[in-house]
Amino acid sequence: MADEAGEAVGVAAPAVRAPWRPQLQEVSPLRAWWVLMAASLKVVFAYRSNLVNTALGSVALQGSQLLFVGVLLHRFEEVGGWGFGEVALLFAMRLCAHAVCTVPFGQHSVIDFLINEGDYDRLLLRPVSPFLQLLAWRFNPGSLGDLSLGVVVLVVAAQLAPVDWTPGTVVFLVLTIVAGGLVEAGVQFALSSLSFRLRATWSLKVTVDTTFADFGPYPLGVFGTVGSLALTFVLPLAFIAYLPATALLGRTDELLLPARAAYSSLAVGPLLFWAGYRAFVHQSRHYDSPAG
Amino acid sequence: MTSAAQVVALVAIGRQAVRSALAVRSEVLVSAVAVLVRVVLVVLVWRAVYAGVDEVSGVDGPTAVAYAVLGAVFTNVLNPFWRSSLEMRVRQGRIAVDLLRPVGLVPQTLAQQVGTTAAAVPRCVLAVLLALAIGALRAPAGGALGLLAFVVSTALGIAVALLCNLLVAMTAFWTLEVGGALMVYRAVAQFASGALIPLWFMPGWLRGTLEHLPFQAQVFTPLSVYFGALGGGDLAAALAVQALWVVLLALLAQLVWSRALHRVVVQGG
Repeated sequence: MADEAGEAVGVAAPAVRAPWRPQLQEVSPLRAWWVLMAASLKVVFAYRSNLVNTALGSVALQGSQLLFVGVLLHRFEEVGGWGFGEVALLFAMRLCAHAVCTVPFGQHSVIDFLINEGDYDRLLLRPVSPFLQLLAWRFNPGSLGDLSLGVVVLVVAAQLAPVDWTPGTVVFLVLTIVAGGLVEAGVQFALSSLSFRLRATWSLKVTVDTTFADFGPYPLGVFGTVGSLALTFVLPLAFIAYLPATALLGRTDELLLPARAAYSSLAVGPLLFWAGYRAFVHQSRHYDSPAG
Repeated sequence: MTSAAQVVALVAIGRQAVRSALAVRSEVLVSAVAVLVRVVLVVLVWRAVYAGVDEVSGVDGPTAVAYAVLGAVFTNVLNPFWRSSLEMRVRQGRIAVDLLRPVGLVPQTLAQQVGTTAAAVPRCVLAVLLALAIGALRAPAGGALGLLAFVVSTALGIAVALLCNLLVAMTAFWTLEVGGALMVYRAVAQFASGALIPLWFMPGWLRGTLEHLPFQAQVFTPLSVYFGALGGGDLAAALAVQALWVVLLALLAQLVWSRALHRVVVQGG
C-alpha cells in the first residue's frame, strides 16, 4: 500500500518549473492520510448535535440486533448449542471488528456518490493517492457509535463468557478483532471497486453490511454445511469473529475446517485487506468522469 | 386543479417513483438476491433455534419459521434504508419546485412512497415463492376469509408505515441532518414492529409497552392475522386499532406539515 500511495504522493520535480506552480514537498502516505483525516474530524466535531445523533443512530441499529438476540436467548436459552455468554462474546467481537472497519475506513460508502457526481475528479487533481483521499473524505460519526457500543458489550461479554482470560488470550482477542475489521474493510473495498464500472454499488454494500450485522452473532453451525461454507468462502463472515471465537471458547471441535483454521483470520484479515485495496486501485483505472 | 386532475398527477408521481426504483438493473438484481438470501438465512437460524424444541410461548417451530420469513419480507418493503427524497430535496433547495406544484407536498411524498413500495412487490413475491418452495411458509389460516383479513390488515399496516416514514422525513424541515434520526427510527421500528422477533416471545412488560405504539400495527398485527392468532372479536379490534393509527398519524402528519410550512428554508433560494 505504501508503494502505491507513495507513487501518487511523491511528485517528481518538473524539468522546467513553471514560475506559478508551488513546489510540492514529498509527504508520506500516512502523514497525508492523517492530515486529511484530521480535517475531516474537525468538520464532524464542529457539528456536535449531528455527531451525537448519528452515533446514536448506529448504536440503535446495532443495539436492535442485540435486543433481538437477547429476547431470543431469554426464551430459548441457547442457539446452535451456544449459551448467552458465548453469543454475547461473538456479538461483541463482530461489532468491535465492524468498528475497526468503519472508524478508519468507513468512508468507502461514499464512492458511488463521488463517482456519479464527478467529485472523484477532484481527488485525481491532488497530489495524494485518491484512495487515501476517499478514506478521509467525510468521517462518518456513526462509526463512533459502533465503537462505543462494541467496547461496552465486549467488556460485559468478556465477563459472561466462559473464557479463561490470560494476557495471551487478551492479546489474541485484540489482534483478531483488528484482523476481523480488516476482513470487512477488504470486502467493502473490493465492492467499492465495482463502482468504477457499475456506478451503483450501494445496495450491494448495504446488503453485505447488514448480512454481517444480522447474521454475525450466530455460531456458524446454525446455517448448516452449505451455509457455513458459503459464509466462510463466498462471504467471509466466519473470519470476522466466529472462527477466532471458537478458539477462545474452546469450541474448535465444531468446525468443519481443521482446528487451526480458528487462528486463520490473523492472516486472512491482512490478506483480504490488501486484495481489496489492490482491486480498488486496479478498477479505478476504468474511471470515466461524468464531466467528460 | 380539479380533484380528478390531482389524482392523475399523483398516479403519475407514483409511476415515476416505480420507474426510478427500477431504473438501475444491477440495483434491482442485488435487491432481489438480498431478500432471497435473507429469507434463506432467517429460515436456517429459526430452524436451528427450534432444533429439539416443540413449542415455546405457545408457538411451534413451523409457525416461528414462517413468521420470520414474512417478517423479513415486510421489513424489506416497509422499512427500507432509503425511504423518501423529501430530506434531500429540502437540503438541496429543490423543495421550492415541489411547493409550486398544484398538488400538496404531503400527497406528493406519499404517492412517491407508494410507488417505491410497489416497486418492491416483485422481489417480495419471489421471496414468498422461495419460502413456499423450501417448505418454510404455509397458506394463511382461515381460508379465503382469513386471506381477505390478512390483505386488509397488510394494507393498513403499509399505511401506518408510510405515514410514520413521512413523519420522520418531515423532521428535515427542522434539522437538515436527519441521518441519525432515520437510523434510530429504523432500528426502533424494526424491533418494535415485531419484524425481527414476534411479540409473542417478548417479556410481558415489553410486549405491554410495544402494544401501545404504532409499530406493531405495521407488521405484528398483519402477521398475527396470517397465522390465525386472532379470533373473531380480537381480529375486529386489531383491525380497528390499525385503522385508528392510520387516522391519528394522518392527522399528526397534517399538523406537522402545517407547522413545517412556516419553517421551510429554501436553501440557495
